[in-house]
Amino acid sequence: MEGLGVAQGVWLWVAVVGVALASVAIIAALTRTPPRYRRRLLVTVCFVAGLFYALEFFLPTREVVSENGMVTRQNFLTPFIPTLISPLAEVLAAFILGLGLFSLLRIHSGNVAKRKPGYYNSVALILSAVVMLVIGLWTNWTESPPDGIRATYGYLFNGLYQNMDAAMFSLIAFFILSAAYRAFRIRSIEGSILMASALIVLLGLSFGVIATQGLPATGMASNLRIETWSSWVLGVVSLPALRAIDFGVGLGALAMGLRIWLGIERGALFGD
Amino acid sequence: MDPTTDKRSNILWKLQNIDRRILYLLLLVVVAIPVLWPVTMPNAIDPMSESLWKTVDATPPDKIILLSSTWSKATRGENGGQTRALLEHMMSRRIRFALSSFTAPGAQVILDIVREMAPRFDYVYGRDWVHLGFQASANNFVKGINADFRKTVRQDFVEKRPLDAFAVMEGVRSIDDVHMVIEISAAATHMVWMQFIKPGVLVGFCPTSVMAPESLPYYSSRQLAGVLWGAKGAYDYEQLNVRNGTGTYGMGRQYMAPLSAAFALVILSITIGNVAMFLSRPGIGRGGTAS
Amino acid sequence: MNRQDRIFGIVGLALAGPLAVIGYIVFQQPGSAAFNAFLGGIATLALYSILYRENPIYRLFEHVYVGLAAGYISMMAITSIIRPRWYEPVFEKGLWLWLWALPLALLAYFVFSRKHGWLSRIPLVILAGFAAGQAFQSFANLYFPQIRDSFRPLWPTLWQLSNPSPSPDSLSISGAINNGIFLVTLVSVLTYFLFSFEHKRPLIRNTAQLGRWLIMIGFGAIFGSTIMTRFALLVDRMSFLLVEWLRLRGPI
Repeated sequence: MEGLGVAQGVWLWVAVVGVALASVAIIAALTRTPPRYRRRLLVTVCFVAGLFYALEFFLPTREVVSENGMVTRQNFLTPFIPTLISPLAEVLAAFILGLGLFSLLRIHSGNVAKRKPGYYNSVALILSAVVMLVIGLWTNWTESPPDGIRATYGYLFNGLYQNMDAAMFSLIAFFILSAAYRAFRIRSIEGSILMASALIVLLGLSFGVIATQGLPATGMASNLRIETWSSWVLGVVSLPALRAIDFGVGLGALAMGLRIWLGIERGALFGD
Repeated sequence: MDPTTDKRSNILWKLQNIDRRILYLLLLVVVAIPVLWPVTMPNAIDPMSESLWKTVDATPPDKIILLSSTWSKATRGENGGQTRALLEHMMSRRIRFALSSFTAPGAQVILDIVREMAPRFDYVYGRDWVHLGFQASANNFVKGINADFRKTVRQDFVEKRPLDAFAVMEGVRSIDDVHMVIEISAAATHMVWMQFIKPGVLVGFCPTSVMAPESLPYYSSRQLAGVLWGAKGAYDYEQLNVRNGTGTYGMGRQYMAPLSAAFALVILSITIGNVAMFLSRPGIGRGGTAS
Repeated sequence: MNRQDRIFGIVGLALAGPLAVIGYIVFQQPGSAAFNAFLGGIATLALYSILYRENPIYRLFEHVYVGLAAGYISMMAITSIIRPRWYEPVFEKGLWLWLWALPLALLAYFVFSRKHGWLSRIPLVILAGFAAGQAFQSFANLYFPQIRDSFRPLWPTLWQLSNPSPSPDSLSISGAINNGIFLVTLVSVLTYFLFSFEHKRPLIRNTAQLGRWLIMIGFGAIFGSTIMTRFALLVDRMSFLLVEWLRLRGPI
């Protein structure tokens, strides 16, 4: 968007006030949109946004020599991806992310205000979120933060957050063991096939190779090695099965993309 | 006798209903022993790992490797070993590289590892490697560098300077000057590369095991030049490094024994549950009701 | 909170508090890896206490974890997106048109309004539109090579059971058999998926049934690899606790 509008000094602040006033006016006008036009407005906005990438992909391209001497194939829309469309999507997503923090804090400050059971946990949550945000911004926004702040950020991020993340993820190992023991009972053909396949894969990836490592690595006898079995299961049967699922998912995603783009999909985006 | 007490005193019933805490404790012990007293497990190198090793090894001197690190300490058990093995290989071959990440912690973890390893190989920031930082919009980053690195990444992650300030980026203008992209990831981020990268660019993928089976179709279709299967892939790569004199053993080999012990426990507990269930069916063994 | 919980909580805090103080005195140089490991060790044990039973220490650390995560993600959104992509262009380069992005994004916050909630969908449909527009390119790049790779030769060119030096031009008998199994699996699983209604024709019904069994092999592989990932993470955590934190053995 370079060159489209540059304002410096006082003019920048004029622009800030101007945009603020104009957006209040536009939002006020939008709130008065009659219900029957609302859906039409949303569908149109979505279609225009999607049209950009669709046209960029389908319109013919020509060779362009860029400043760095690279020859790339592009059409008149391509240059807008890095300068306008991509940053816009990122900025929108980042501002909308604040919504998550906002509603988390809203729920938990409600718990504290109403002294709900376990409200002290909510206090801890709010405190840790705010401390992390402030110390993090202090460390990462400013040029040279004080040593104490930098160290505290290190304790919060490397000491607590990263280790808690790892602890949470590793807890699942215990639950998987317990669930596998309790639920994995062979009662059907499907269950037996699944278990056999999981067993071959697990053995082929780990200690299974000990049992057959005496066998030659080439020739007929190599077919008896456990890793040969496991790569056969993975490469000849599991692979096409997962590819078939992938095709199903891919077609579904394409269809869903089309439905959203053309506003046929109702759901959370365009529903009433 | 009360039928319930009879049922509960039945050994087959007990074997089907072991308290979960006993299982948890067993798991802790079984894993802790080989962690404290390391054992070396035999290994059969997977062709996918070898394919990745060979592709990395074939990097011409005028090109760089783009190493994208999309993992955090949560999956260090798998991605950590892969990252170290790959970096050892690249640094001992003096391959220049750029780092990037699709998540914020991913940018930090790999920076810490490279900083720790760099002095051993005399790797200097800016001369031999550069960090492009956290790329919030994955699609747009990939599409952007297809044409131009400098327009897509305004400044580096460490010194916050434009890319022209670094010798390693000399002559590296777009993805054409990158030999291959390697995605080390805890998620399905290889998809982003395959969807939007300029066709023909080599992509290697180092997923956690859980993502590996789903990435095999893309290795088979040559959309991926190589895949490291989780912790086992890390061991494969270390072994290839040792065999070719480009590195040493590390996390990959260390973790294989505790992993195997834990697998054995799973297999054993599933077997016990099933055998006890089978034996307690009416008509087989004594008593017990089939569930 | 019942009595047992209270005892659990008090004992836990009584142990963790002095430990934290001792830890700080021992490793007090700023940013020290040892102190990080110390904090991480305590936090890991606190979270692992759920394995014994539900308890207030676990709840407290769980909430701290969620809070830290929320704070961290918001901080990163500000420093790595909003600052370089919005703040600097507007306030350092004077590209004032970018100011419009803020009110556009703020529309999302109308989600809390019952009356004007629909306004919150405007920024969302823009993002959804961008994603939908890219669906064509991503489908083409992702799946065309997959489809090409699925057409595999079934007639051997090398009349030997196996091929000692596999190459794309020679297909042994076992290779042809494997390709046959590959195609049968692909087609039957696709059949199972595409004809997801009740199958009347025996050909479709039986193919779909076969697909159902073959798909279990794929799921088995995923299950096996899930176990591997989760256990690898546990091994890493144990290695952290025993080697990095408690230093029960030196690094190798």
